[in-house]
Amino acid sequence: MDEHRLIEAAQRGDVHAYNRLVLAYQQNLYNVAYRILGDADRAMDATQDAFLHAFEALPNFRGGSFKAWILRIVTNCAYDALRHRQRRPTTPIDDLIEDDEHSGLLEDDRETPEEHIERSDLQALIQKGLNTLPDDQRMVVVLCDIEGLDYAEIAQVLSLNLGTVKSRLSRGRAKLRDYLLAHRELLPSGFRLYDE
Amino acid sequence: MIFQRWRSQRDHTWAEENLSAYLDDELPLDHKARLERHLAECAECRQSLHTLKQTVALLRRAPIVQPPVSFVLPPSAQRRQARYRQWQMAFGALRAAAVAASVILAVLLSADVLLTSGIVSLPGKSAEGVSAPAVLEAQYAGQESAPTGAVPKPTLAPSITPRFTPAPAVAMAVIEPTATPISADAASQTTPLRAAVGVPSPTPLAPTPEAAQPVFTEAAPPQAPVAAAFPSTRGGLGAGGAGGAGGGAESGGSGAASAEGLPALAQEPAELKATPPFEPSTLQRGPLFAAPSPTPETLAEPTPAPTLGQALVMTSLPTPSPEPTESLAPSPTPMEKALIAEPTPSGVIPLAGKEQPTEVTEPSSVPWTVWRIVRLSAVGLFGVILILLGGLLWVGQKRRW
Repeated sequence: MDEHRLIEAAQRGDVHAYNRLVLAYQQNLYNVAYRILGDADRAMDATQDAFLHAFEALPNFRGGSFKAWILRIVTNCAYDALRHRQRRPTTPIDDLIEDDEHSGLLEDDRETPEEHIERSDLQALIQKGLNTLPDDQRMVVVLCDIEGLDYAEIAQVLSLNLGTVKSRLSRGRAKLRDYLLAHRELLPSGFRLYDE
Repeated sequence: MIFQRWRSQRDHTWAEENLSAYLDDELPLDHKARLERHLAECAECRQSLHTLKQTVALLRRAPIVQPPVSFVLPPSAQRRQARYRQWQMAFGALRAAAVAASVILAVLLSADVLLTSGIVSLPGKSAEGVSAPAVLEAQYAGQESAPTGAVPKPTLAPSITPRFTPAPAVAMAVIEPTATPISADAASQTTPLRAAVGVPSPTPLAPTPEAAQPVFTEAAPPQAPVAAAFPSTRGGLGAGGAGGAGGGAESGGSGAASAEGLPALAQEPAELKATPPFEPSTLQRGPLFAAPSPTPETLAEPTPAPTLGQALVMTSLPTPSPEPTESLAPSPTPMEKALIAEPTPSGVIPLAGKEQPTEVTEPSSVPWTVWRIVRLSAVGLFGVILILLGGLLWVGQKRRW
């Protein structure tokens, strides 16, 4: 069943049809929430809230890109979580207990232990670099360079104009580049940044 | 040389800002060509572009994070969707109510500002604060500056204070109708103005239908000079009462009208001197006339010009009038006491100096104090409603997506 029919059924209250959409998009939404929030538990809460709100508000969906629409909801939920965290700063329990058994990364059976460690280091360094960015720049960088949205889609998701998207992306990328260059020794050997 | 260096620096700054869009091929063609020209010249920008390209490639190869749980919804989520629809309808109604409350509150506040500033006058207010005390003060000042036994105009305004309200507003409201019926009556008799000043009409002034009209319709500016020119015992009222009342009630316009009427009276001292007073029997007809009526000598003396000018100036000043009449007026004369002590049973108070008591009806508007309470209560009520609706909307907005 194609996405359009699933959306129409979900708009009539069909939970099963909506759950098929959830399964199709939950990895994208969770990744966006995780990159924006930098915390697995908060990302889970934001993703769950986003799917619930999206189902409630689905009768208001008037067509267009369902992915952009639902990404907008999850970015709003992530932004709310960010504001809530700024009001009540806490230290997640995951940061206090190192979880070596499950890094949250997608498991790959063909991956050697060395490759898995290398990928985990890269993921941690990228997330630290993203965490140094301001919230507005981080959202644009995540949507563009991790989710692969183009400028027009980002403008639609974040309700911005193209010029703002362009400038935020430029500043965010430049800051992230400076961070990675400053921590280039932490990058895996296959991902070193080299000056000309 | 300096210009080239400045231009190169400007291009360098511009290029650094556009390297990211150049990587994504989001630059217009002219900008793309300009950037490529600069890249051919600037090694620093080439280096920056290279590291930026590596950073973007690194981000795009970032590992995907697997969600630890599945986010599928339980079947009970169907009820949430129905509840959300109901909430949306209620939210729309709340928004409409908030808009309506905002409009009503804005109208109330605007009306309040207009009324309190005197730009717009209501029936109750036009009679009350802005003009009445000023007229009374002006009349009182005129009495102080006038010689003893001068025109007894100060005694008129306080003396006709009706007993149904202590506010000076109503005192003013009663003054105004008395002037208009007289002037209307004089006009209806088609008597020339000069003749009216010189020779009073022998026929007593009968109450006209206009006398029963509300106050605010009777203080018309054009009628003030006619009332001011009314002869005999009305000379005092014409100068201080009718002219002042007209100027007070209508502020600007009537002030000018009374200014025209008062000099007309002052320029006719000879005619006023020739004006015979009313018959004593006529004056002593009612209890009002127990006080001594103005003598011909009294009428012969015109009101001093500075006093009238002062009165006009004072009537034009916006003066709030919470004070009762007694605080502004001198101590009551015997005529005042008679008036206050013995009003007519219908609440209608006749005027001194008229051959026949003129019936004045009570102003039909709500008393000003009650109106003020109602107004402030309405503003406060709608303000509270608006705050509550704003709070509900703020809470509801958090549920909207």
